[in-house]
Amino acid sequence: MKNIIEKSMAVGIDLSDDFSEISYIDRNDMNVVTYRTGSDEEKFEIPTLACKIPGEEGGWCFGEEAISASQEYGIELIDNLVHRAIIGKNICTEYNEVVDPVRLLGMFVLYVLLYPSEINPKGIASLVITTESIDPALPAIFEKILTNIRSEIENIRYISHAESFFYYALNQPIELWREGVLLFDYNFMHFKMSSLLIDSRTKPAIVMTEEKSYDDMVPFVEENAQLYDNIFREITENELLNKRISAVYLTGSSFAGRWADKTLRFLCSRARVFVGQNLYTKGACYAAADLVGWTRLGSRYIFMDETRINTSIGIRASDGVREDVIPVISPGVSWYDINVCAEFMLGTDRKISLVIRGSGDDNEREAVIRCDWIPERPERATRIRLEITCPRKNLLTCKVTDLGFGEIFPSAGLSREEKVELL
Amino acid sequence: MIYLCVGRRASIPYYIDTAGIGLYSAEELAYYIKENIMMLDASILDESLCKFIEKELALPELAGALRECVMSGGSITDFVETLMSKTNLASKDEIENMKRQLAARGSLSKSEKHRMKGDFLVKGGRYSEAVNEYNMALDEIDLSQKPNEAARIFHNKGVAYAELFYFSEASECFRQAFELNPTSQSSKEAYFDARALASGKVPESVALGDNVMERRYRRYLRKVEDGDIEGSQVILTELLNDMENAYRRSV
Repeated sequence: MKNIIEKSMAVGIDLSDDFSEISYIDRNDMNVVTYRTGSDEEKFEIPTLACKIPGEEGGWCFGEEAISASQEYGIELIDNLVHRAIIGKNICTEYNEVVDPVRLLGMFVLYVLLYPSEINPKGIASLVITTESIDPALPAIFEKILTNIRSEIENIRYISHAESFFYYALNQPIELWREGVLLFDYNFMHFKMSSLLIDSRTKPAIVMTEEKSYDDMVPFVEENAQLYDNIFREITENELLNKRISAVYLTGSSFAGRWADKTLRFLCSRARVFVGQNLYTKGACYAAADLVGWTRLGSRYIFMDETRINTSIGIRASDGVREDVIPVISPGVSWYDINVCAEFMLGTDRKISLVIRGSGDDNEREAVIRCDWIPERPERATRIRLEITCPRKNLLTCKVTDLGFGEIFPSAGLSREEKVELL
Repeated sequence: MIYLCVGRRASIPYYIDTAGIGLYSAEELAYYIKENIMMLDASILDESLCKFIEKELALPELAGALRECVMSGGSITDFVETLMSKTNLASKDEIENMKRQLAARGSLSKSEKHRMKGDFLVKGGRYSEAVNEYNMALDEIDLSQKPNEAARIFHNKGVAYAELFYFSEASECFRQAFELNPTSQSSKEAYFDARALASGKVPESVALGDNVMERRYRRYLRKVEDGDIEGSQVILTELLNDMENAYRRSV
């Protein structure tokens, strides 16, 4: 009897150049678990490092294994895997082996995905990867490295840390975000404060984050702990002046020690305070669960950031009686998530009209895609496939393929692409 | 303008035996019915078509309405009207036109029905069956009473024979057509062309219509004038091959 593995797991990976983390959620109990990489309860980090063991038998190793191999063989570690993939320059190892950085990042992501023994790739319903921000080059990089995985995992998304924060915060009990949420993210590179702004006037509600950076706090030096505590206290006092907050989250390696006692005492008097190093991976995991409909956050709240388009796109079409504009892309979708594929019947005018409307804007414009290259056939006797993708923000690629009309008018096998600017 | 698709594309088509064609969508079904309205018969009032519409095209409501039509003893007209109006694949005017055509079918003579079926089979490339239908049409007609209709049948039968490369038979049909209707220029020309082909010659109308074939034809004539029988036969074979290839490309 064939064993059918139920896809009951949603996985979130926080992919950063220093450390990466993985969380998973089982549909049957809906508890998010971050995989512990050591005996320490709070140790979740997998170092984002790679190392090539020398010799013919040598292969690539990652994370702590890479650190061990580096020490054992005296070879250099390869770090900043995400940044290297974005730059795209080939990496040359000590032994003059050349490796594609995108391929290397792909191997690392697969390593992280298979790291926990609890995760069976065949049982994964969705995967969300979160990075600090979505560099314009990243979606194409992720598409490339995840091509092989897509045969097992159909639902994959990439989100920023800001969006991860949104998913994490709004999946907590309502009393932890009803009056506002603050996040402090502090590591050797940055000290950022993010606040969630929820506009409930629309349905679904629009959610954004407002970020502020404080360079005075970077980098954290233990000797100046008291100074940093004072600065931190001042920042929080200014932020919470005449404002109510439900919860404050502190994340990042620089919050590891107990140097911020004064500030924490103040924060605890004003809100619930949580310190942890796995907020983003858990947020990504919540996003993965929402992607496959296990939670319904996305239907009630839309997260908006710079990756989202603020236009709606529809196609003017008729059902044979009435003409209407069929919505295909709504505002609030990330540009790299746009992937529309639909079939229509072509009229004898052989053109497709896209109706483009800005968010909050009553004006609309039409972009016409001509299909004169398709052989002339009677009205509604040509089936076409229309595929719309977004190679970069505010630019659509529309591909039209002639599917013919069954055996009556066989397809000419032709297809054409046209670009449409959204601005 | 583009139109929303009705239902989905079938993975297994609905096969129309008489047309030798498989239909994969509601649009193709509607198109086939519109284009061959006069050829529809009771075989369309079929549970297998309803099942195809329900399962393959994913249109259970339409299938239910058509099934009800069949079970309540509805006519072909009722069936077609239900199909077209529920899918919006024909305008009100088109539906009325189809209903008129179906009504007019009742007043067609047996000969006309056979002739129309023959024409339908020629369109579908089923020439042998078309010849049989034309023969049945001729059996039902009084040549002296309806010479023009008879001429039309003979002409179309000649076309079917020519498509089968039976040029002698085709030539005879065109001759009879021309005899019955001396005003028919097309029958006259077709007769001469078929006769030429039947005797292994190249019809003038073909020879002058294509540069390559024209050059071959002129070489053939030169060989004949020079008395080079063997050479002329070789060129004639090449010319007939050219015509055959041109015919295949055209279909």
